Amino acid sequence: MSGAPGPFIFFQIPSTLAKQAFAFHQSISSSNEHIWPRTEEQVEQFSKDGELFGVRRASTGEFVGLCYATLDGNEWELGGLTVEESTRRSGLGEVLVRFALACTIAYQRPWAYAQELVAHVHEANDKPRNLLTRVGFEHVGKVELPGDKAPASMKRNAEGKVVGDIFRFPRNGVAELSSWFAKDFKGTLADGTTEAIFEVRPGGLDSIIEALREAAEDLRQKG
Amino acid sequence: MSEYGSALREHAGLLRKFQIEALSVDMKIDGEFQRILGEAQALLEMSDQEIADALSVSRPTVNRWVNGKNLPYYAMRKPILSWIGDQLTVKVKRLEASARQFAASPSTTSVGSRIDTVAAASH
Repeated sequence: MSGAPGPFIFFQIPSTLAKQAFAFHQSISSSNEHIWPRTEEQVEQFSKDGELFGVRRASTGEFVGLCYATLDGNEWELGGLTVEESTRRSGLGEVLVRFALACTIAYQRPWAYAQELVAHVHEANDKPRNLLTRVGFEHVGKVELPGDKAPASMKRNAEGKVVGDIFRFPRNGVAELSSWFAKDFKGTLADGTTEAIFEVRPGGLDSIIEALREAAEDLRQKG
Repeated sequence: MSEYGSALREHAGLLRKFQIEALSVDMKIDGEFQRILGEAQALLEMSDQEIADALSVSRPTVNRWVNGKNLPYYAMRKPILSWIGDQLTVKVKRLEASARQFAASPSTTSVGSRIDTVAAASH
């Protein structure tokens, strides 16, 4: 079943659904030269570590969106954003990124541990840029990978390198993120009719909203 | 009451005391949250995985909390502490029920059923 509207459920993907999540990731990354293809083992590890977020149709359980937020050194890297073709332009990807960000901030308190939130986008991949900017990410620089260090499926530039842009989610973006969940989100996607449900435990979405308020206040006080 | 029944009551009392302490400490303090979570884990005899499953979070997340890394915001601590409180209440009730059982019929309880009751009261 594809193309039909939701409701859609946004959730942290448990390891019991890692295989399905990988199949979804692979179905898109295998034909997209801008996406870093992750292995089944990596996707499974993301899920075990609580770093994998997804969207499924409430009616069938079918995956329609996926991303991860994984700790690499002192950076939480938000990546692997993939959305099923039929749901694009519905704003589902943007809600998923906000959800992954909110959960990561609420549970991991990154700035308290000198950790940053970043995203990498292939230089030739225009689609996620506006999305990341709308969510609050800021472009902070470029990253270059030698051809032999990047997956073979990824697009190279004339010099044989894979080049990407680095986006960072700033501390002062938390207040807007908090406000989006508390005020702007009305239980639907951008079309105003397709229901979007956040599956959050423990404490539910209210706890996430409260944690984001706490984060915004904490970061404001610390400047 | 049998010696074993007394031990169960004593253990239940210890859990109640800890439950009261857990409610009174300032959970906004990172070290206090970490300490209470660690002590609750020991008293409830639960692994990181069991806590993670119950709270629908990942095992590494619980492991980080227990080790004082990436502790969550206070708003996320409240439902965790509420869950700990519920678990302690359940365990205390089980221990007290077992203690009453032993008080009622200490001489007729076989060793085998006593072992079963210990296992039931501990989980």
